[in-house]
Amino acid sequence: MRNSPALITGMGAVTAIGQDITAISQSLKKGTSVFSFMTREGRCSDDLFIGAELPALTMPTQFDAYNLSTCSLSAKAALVALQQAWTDARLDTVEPEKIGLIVGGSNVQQRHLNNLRDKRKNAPYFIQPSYALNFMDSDICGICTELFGIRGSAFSLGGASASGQLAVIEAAKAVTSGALDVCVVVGALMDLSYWECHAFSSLGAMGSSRFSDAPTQACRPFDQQRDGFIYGEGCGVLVLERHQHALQRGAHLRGAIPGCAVVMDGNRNPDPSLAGEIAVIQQVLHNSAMTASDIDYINPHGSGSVLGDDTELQALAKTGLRSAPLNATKSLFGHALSAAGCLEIIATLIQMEQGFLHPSLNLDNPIQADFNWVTTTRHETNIKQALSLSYGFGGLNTAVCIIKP
Amino acid sequence: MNIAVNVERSRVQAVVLDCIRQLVPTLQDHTFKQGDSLAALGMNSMERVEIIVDILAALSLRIPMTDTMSATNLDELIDLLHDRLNRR
Repeated sequence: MRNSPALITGMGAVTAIGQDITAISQSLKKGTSVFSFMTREGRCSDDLFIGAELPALTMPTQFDAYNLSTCSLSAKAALVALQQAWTDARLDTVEPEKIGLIVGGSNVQQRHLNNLRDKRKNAPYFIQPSYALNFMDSDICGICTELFGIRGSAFSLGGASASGQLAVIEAAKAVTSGALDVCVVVGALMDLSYWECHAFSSLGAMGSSRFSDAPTQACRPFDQQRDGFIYGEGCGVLVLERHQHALQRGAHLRGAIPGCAVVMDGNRNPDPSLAGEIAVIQQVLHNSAMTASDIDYINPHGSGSVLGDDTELQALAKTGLRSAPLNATKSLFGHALSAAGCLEIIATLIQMEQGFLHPSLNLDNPIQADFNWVTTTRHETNIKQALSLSYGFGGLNTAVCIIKP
Repeated sequence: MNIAVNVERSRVQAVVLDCIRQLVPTLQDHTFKQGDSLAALGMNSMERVEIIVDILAALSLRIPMTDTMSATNLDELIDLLHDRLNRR
């Protein structure tokens, strides 16, 4: 007998195109993006990179008494998004021991650390002691559990660009097994320094030299002219809840997760695997007791990778998903790396709730034209059953089915 | 280590208070009193060592962190730092 599906009862997010769910919804509907050359301290150097950076964060007033000066941008973004999700799910009414936390993302505070090192590069003896906390990803767990009084289990996990979705999958397991009644998932903001930007660029993963004269056109998943992912700052938080627990307390049900899947390729490298992607889609459909024809929206990984996008479409075609509508959320948010999986599930939930599919920017000439693309204008539609996909370096393939509750 | 000997105590005090105010924005307008301590001002252990290191860096005074722990309040800390600076 199948367990009752995990329910999603809260969400919050900060992105470059909106610092709460309402603002993000509006931007998704309009098809807004804010890509430009990035200027954040410690990210821009002699070479400039295209991306989407957050405007100044508006910290919730409840944290006024707490000194956040040693917290990284990743931690602050987590607090803002978690506050939204906490309020949305009304978690103040849930016993702290019943609530757990998983932070999706590893090594996410790189720019912050690099800035601390640069500040004392001539006197390492005077490195800020808080560096000893910041360099461990458990720092974000510690800050979030302290400020929100979470007393269930809390840990961080790493899964490259699939970190956020992998965290959702682990949270779904925790609440369906009964280990926790509520599990909060933070898809942490991956704060890139100029070192990581250079490395991604050298690797050929990050674009765009091709559109250096036109930053707003650089992010173009699935388009023939794509030349790599374009980074976007962001953090997404989801609240997953044990089915019966959510129903008993009358929680607002935003979505349900009937099935998930994780498949490893057995490959350390960044290259995708068609076999792995096919397998993860087949497994998630099986685990959700669905067939391809049941899926009426796909939120693909769609990073803008030259090889990755092509492989992804092949996998969708071979699993019978060529006709399901799909768009590219990263064309609006940019690629938030560790946060991407959470942000894209949030985008899926917003579209399900509000009955639309957002446009895909710069999808002028899709690499395969016979898919059911949402291109320049949004579609008004009713989505009941969706599929969200995330793929990560190191041969990681993850998939989550999401249904209307 | 290029700070000259005979650093004025008032200079040390200014550095100490400036570092505290930079790390703790809520103390921007605080009037420090004799006997104030970092702990009594609401700083946790992490914030206290963060401030001490900032102060030591601003004074270019390389001493073990544990040497500063005998100071029970800001006055004693300023005296201790002043003494160590002028002992070099």
